[in-house]
Amino acid sequence: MELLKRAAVNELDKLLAKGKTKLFLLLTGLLPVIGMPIVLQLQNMFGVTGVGRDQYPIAVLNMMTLFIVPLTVFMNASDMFSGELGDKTIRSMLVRPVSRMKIFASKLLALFAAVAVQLGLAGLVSAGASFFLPAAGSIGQGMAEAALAYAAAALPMFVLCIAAAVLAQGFKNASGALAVLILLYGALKLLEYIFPHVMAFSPTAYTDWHSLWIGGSVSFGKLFTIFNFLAGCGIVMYALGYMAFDNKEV
Amino acid sequence: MEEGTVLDICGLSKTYKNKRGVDRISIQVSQGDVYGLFGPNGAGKTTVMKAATGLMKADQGIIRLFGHDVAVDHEAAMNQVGVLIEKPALLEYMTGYKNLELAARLYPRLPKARIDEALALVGLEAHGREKVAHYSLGMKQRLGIASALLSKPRLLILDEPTNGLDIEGMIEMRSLIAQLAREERMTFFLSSHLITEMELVCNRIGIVYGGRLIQEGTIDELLQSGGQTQSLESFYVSRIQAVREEERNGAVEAGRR
Repeated sequence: MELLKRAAVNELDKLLAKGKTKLFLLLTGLLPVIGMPIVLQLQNMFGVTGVGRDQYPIAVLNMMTLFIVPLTVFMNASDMFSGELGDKTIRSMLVRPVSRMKIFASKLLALFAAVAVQLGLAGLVSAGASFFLPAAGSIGQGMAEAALAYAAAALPMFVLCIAAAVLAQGFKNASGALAVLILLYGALKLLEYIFPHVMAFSPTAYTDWHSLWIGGSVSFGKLFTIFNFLAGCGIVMYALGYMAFDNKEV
Repeated sequence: MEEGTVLDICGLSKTYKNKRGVDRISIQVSQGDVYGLFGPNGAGKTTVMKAATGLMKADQGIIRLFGHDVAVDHEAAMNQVGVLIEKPALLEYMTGYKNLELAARLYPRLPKARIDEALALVGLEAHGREKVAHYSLGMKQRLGIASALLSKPRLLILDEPTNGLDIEGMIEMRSLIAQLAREERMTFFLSSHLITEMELVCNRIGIVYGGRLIQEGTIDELLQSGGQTQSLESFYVSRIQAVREEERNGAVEAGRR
């Protein structure tokens, strides 16, 4: 457990040393602030209260889980797997007294941590920025729901991390992997509109499942079913990813 | 496995898609040995090194480091081993010090001061805070050696350790190996395609050719088995000619049948 923790800290260190990680964190922090005047302007133009104070963090979350977080996940997974396997820098870990199982798990833990930090940052900044918007409904209840939604949003993003880790291992350079992951994600999202029933079996269809946690309109049974589906996808893909990682020759 | 054996390669076979690889290689390296694996480019030296460190899975055979099967108990097997295979695996966007810090983190009992010691051992103490991207090829190689030495391993596995080093660097590397073997009783398993380098550094040599270990022994044993040969170089040339002759005769014999 100690070695797993240390290996995960190493992976986070590597992520933080990269300029693009800092850039994406900055973008995450700025998005809710930049979005604010746009929302205000639109509301003034049309004379309606489109997004109230209690809804603004959720509107930001929708944007984050659809575009920004998946893009960051793909970028990080491509670097961690395709990049390190391609330029063979992964050897620096593989020849140490740490099993491949722990190395694979540590990389995923770092991906999860990056997602959690990104969502947490977006949540805090959007909650702060929302005070510039007109109040619409109970602020306390709105913020509590937003906190629940942000926590729930992490699950499909974690599953996306595992899927990206599996696929990225098929490439020998990070840019190639990133391009394919983005195209594949875009295609799956498009297919959700064309074949919604079939695509219900794709984990990418649940990137917005946090919306089900708001308002209390969805039954516990449905939430439980989706949770099981996402957890099942995550477990199967984790096993596939570890098998591929364990058999890699570098 | 004999007592005092730190590396035991037993019947290692590995075939790549292009049909090249290594065939039934067995090597034992004892505590205190400086064992050199010598052979031309493509002979299979790096394959042996990669399999010995778990970077590659063997098709057949067992590799034990300090009695632990590297394929089964990687953590125990690699606990006292330092490795440098081919070019150093360095993160260029980090400093030399940070690269070593990441490696040091994976040895919970290693004091942080060891990072500076390792940098000083390879003469990089003044460049530890520079990004690796700004290092010369020789500096990167030295940092790779520092990374391998970091945990004070009992066995160092170095694949072509003088790659990228100038004459001065090569001499320094040889004296570092000799010093560590003498003072720290460190065991070495090295590979090189430069026979003079092997002759100067190693006490035992294995010659790999065409994926097979064709000869093994101390330098004296090899020279004696070569009859009139005066140097390892001439011994190697005559031994390779003999192997090629055997292969030709074998092919002719098979053709007749």
